[in-house]
Amino acid sequence: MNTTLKVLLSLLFVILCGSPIWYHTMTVHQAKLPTNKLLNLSSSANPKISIQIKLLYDEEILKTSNKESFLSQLKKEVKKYSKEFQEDFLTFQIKTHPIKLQKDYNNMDDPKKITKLLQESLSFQKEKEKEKEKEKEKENQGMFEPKYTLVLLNLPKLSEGIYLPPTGRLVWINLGESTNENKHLNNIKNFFSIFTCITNTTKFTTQTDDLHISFILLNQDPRGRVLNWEFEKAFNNYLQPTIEKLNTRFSEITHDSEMIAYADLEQSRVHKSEAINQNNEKEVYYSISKNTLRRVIQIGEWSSSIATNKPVLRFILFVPGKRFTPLFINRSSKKNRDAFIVPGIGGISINNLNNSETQLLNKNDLRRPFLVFANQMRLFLGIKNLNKFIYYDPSNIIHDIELDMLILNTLIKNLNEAKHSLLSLHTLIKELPYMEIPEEIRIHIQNAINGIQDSESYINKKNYKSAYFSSKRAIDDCNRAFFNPSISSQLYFEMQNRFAIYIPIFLPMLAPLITKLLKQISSFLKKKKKKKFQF
Amino acid sequence: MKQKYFSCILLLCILLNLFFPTCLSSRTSQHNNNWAVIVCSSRFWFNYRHVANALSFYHTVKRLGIPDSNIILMLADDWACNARNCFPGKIFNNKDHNLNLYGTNVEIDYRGYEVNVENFLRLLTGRHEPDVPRNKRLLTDSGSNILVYLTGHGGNEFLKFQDSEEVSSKDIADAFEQMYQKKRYNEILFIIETCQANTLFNKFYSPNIAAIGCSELGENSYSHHFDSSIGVQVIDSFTYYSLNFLNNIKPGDSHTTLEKYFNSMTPKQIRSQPRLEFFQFQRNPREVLVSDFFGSIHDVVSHPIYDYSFQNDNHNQNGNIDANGEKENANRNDNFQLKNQFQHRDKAQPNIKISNQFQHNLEDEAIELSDNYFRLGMIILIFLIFFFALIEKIITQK
Repeated sequence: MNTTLKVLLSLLFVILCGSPIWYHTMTVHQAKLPTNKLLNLSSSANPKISIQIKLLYDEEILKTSNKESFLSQLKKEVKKYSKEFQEDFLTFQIKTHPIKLQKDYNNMDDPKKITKLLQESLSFQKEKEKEKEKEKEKENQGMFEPKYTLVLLNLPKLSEGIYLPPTGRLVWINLGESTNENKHLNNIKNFFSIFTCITNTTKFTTQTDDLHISFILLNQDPRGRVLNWEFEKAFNNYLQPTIEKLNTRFSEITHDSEMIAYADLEQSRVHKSEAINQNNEKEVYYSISKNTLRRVIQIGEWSSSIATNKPVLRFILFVPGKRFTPLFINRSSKKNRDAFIVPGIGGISINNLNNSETQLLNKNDLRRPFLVFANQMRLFLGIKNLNKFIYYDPSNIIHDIELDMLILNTLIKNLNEAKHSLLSLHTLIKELPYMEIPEEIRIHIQNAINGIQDSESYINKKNYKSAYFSSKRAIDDCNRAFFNPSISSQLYFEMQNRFAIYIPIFLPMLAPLITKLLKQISSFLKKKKKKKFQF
Repeated sequence: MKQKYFSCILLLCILLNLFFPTCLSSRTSQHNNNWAVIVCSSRFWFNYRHVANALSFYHTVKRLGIPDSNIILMLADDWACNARNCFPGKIFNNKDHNLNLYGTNVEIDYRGYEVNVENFLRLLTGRHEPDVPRNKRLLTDSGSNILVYLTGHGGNEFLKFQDSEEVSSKDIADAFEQMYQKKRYNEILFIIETCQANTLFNKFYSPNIAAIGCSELGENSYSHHFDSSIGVQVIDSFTYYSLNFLNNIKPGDSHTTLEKYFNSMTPKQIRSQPRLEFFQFQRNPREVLVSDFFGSIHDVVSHPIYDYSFQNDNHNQNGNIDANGEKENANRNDNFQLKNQFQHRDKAQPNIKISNQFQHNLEDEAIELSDNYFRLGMIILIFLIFFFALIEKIITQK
């Protein structure tokens, strides 16, 4: 009896002391995640963004064979465009309005003056000051409204085409002296293609829009000629305004420059040819094929001095040595090119120097290469080159409309990625039920959810700049949560492992107690049987 | 007569089988950069062959174009400076000692006890501590093709690390899935050289993964030969025959398929049953090239240049550059490129010129041009067959 009591008390003692220890040591701290909100958000559709376009024309100036039929056809076409150019998240509202332009534009040939006059005469004048103040306020608050004005003009002294002023959302089309209505309609249709200018074919980065650009002067053969370049002056003149614009409204782009020498070409791969130039003189030139370039260019090795965590875009100005000048890339034997891009890496421009004794590339020499880099930067950001448009400010290579479209596209892409990341994270956490979820992850997830909700509400309020930056913060928080170092299945154990850990401690304690208990029970049962027989 | 028609049809079928695959091939992958993760998970001197395997693949991918910045090399032990190494600082994969694999140009990213399951999975999933340097991170994106090569000791759905822990097939499958969720790869080629290697990709469920293993469940992976001067086996059979094949591939090779590489090793040679498997591969598996994973040849895209500055007199409707506005400072590019008044003239003789031009074109756009020539040849051949058959019919009727 005493033995039984002792066994029972010992067993009770082990269980009462051991259970809390086991429970406390095995319990994993899991911060409470906003699962319902997360799931609702992931399945919700993105709000739509409305783009408003006003198409203005002065009936007196308009030159067509039949004005009435042209105008009615225009209205029909405009309805078509609003459906044709619709993206998943963009809706177009296009309206046509007749206006009366007070000035005579026929003798004008300066696009800047024309733009200024248009802005003054298009009822901008009366509310001009108020508008300016409002615009300033909006810019400061971060709002930009995707409202665009397109004016049709017939100017004999300027080339036909679509004119984009350096800034602003007023665009005008010069229909020229032609009265061909189909041509006019075609030009108008080309204008709408600017709203589909964003593409992902050579998009440089999908994770982040902040990047670092490295400009490299690559001197193939520095023997006898040490090259230098006026990089800062050229950059400030040709690229700085655009990059500043991008930095204030879109992303953080940093840059640096470098000079590298000795990137040799294999002589066997360079094709030598003769050509007759403009002066009817024979001239030798060199070309390399696209396939050769692919083998020669190991861009990853050329700029190992860059130390940054941002994605790097490399723009290389390659100056061939004297023995291979001039050098071109033979693309298809029809046209020779001197610039190309390597998707995901950067771009190269080949600069054949006129004078073989040149040692310094000044700002003017660098105009064309930097123009090439500007073209390539546009491609890398995902902005298509629109050759039917005329920009009349060379320092402003990305127009406001293109930047608007870039911001809107990136905004929606960020929202989709953030929602997808949250859902993936939720699925991952579910699969690791014994994983510790620190407060840090909960905070990041909460911030990401808040960011997405803020972004969507800003879209509804038409504050797209704030919506964009909220979406950036949301995706940043998503990535911090998803890539948190504590999420590793190797650090957490399944239930069977938990028992396995404590068996070496409790089993030696419990085994003799349990066997003793069983012995007591069996002896008790035997005694009971004996008593029954006796009776 | 019937027999002749039948033989014509048969010939036609043979020709179609020969030419159609090349005609319809679209060899392009959507990747724009390549990475390689090469892991030797064994330690101890007698596992010398594993480091030789890993370094052999390392040098192969380097030769074919992947730079060191895009290679993560993990070696679990230091065999080169092992006290038992009769050739200090050198590692060989052949008893002839032709090539020292541990030369001056080997960058090891994870060495010794840093090679463990946790670090390996952190590398794949991207979950590093903030202080991990850039060279130890797999900085891939949605355009990256990744070669993952593992060698060591393994078993049924596991791979041993450091002789003390294991990574399971599920862990690797989950890691790949997380990479897929965050769009950190375009395609993965997973090569595993251990015992029962093929079991390690039983659990893969993410798309666009190709896997090659050297041995089935219950089979061992065998070494190739023993080096009496070093005293250990120096290379495994799978790697040995892989190198035999890969050493014939030049950088920029655009013909050799992964299937061909796999078929170059027979079970008789490596003494185990290898397997090649594709998991939800979007491309036709027969068109996957070895160079899609082993090399790093960048796709090159040439493009026109648009000048966005308005010049009233010189403005071109297309917006292309006109050099007149800045004639004084214009460089030669403008003169050659824009005027397009070339008369190409090669120095060589006409017939040599044609062959040179052909060679140049072939080099230039080899695949598309040769495909066009094949198609044209096939059409001509078919036409000739029917033409001659018709003539024969007419003659016999007469």
